Amino acid sequence: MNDVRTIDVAKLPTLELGPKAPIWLGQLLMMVIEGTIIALLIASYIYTRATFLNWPPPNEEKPMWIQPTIGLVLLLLSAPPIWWSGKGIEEPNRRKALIGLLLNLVLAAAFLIVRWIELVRLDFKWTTDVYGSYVWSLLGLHTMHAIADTCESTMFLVILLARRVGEKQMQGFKVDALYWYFVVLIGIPIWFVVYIYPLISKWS
Amino acid sequence: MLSTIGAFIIGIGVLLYVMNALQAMASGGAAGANPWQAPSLEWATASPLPNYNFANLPVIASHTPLWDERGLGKVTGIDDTHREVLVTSLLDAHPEHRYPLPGPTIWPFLLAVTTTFGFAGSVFNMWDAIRGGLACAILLIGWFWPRREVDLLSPETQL
Repeated sequence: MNDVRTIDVAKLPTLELGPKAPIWLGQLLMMVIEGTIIALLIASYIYTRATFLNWPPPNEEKPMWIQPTIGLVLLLLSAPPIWWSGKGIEEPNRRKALIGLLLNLVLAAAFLIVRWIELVRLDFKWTTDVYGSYVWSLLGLHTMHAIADTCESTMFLVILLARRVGEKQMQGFKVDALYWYFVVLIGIPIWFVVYIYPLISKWS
Repeated sequence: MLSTIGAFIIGIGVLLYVMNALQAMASGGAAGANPWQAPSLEWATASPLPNYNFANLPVIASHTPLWDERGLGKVTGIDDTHREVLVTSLLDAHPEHRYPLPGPTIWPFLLAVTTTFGFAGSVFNMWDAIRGGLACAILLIGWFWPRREVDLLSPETQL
C-alpha cells in the first residue's frame, strides 16, 4: 500500500464525454423510464387485441403501411449522421460536426413531415375507441420525443454556428445524440405494432 | 391489554430518554467529535457538524478508517472557485474526473413554475399541455445557453 495518503486530483480532466459523465447516465435512465412506458403500451395493446375478433375494429380502416415504412427508413438513415457528428465533436472537428448534424436535421425533418401526414390522415380520434387510444398514444409519444430532440439538435446547430462550444455543450451534444438513438430505436417496435401487426395478426 | 402494556413500555422508554437528556444538560461537559471511539467516517467530522461535512474529501484504506494508525488521508486539487464534484469508479472509488456543477441561477425556478402551470392547466384544457411544453422548451434553452465565450472547436483554443 502507498503510505502517502493524499490524493491530488488537480490534474484530472473536467471533460468526460462517455458513459462516465453523470449527465450521460441521467439520459440513459430517462431512456429506461420512457422505454418502459412504451413497452407497457405495446404489451397492453397486444393483450387488448387478443380480446377483439376484428382488429382494427370494423369501423376503422386497416393501416396503410407503405408511407410509415418510408418514414421509418428516413428515421433509420438519420442515426449514422449524428453518430458521425459526435465523432466530430470529440476530435474536435467543426466541419464534421456541422455536416453530420445538418444531415441528421434534414432527415429528422423529413421524417416529421411524413409522420405529420400520417397523423392527419388517421380517420379516427383518440376518443373513438380503444384502438384509437392506442394508436394515438404510441404515435403521439414517439412524435413528441422526435420533435423534442429535433428542437434540441437545432439548438446545438445554432450553438455550433455561434462558436460557443464549451465543455458542457460538448457533453450536451453527446447526450443529445444518445437521445436521438433512443428515438430511432423505439421507432422500430412502434412501426411494427401500429402498422404491420394489425395486417398479419389473426384472431385465435 | 397487550397494547396497554406496550404503550407503558414505550412511555417508560421515552421518560428514560428525557431524564437522561435533562441530567446531561445539568452536569457534564459537551461530548467531543467521537465520544465512542467509533471507527467509521461519520464520526470523523467536527461536532457540531459544519454544513460542508469535510473541507477535503477523506481518503480511506479500510472498513475501519478511524482506527487506522496513519489517520485519514485527504483529496486535494478540487477547484474551489466554483462548484465541483469528484467522479470515481463505482467499486474501487478510483478518482476519474472532476465534474463542474452549475452555479446559482433563476432558470430552474422559472421552469418549475411553468411546469406546474402547464400540468395544472392541462387538467382543464388540453392545449395548456402544448403551451406549457413550448414555454418549458424556451426556458430550457435559456438555461442551457452558453454564457462563456469559449469555443473548443476553434483551432486557437485547442490545447
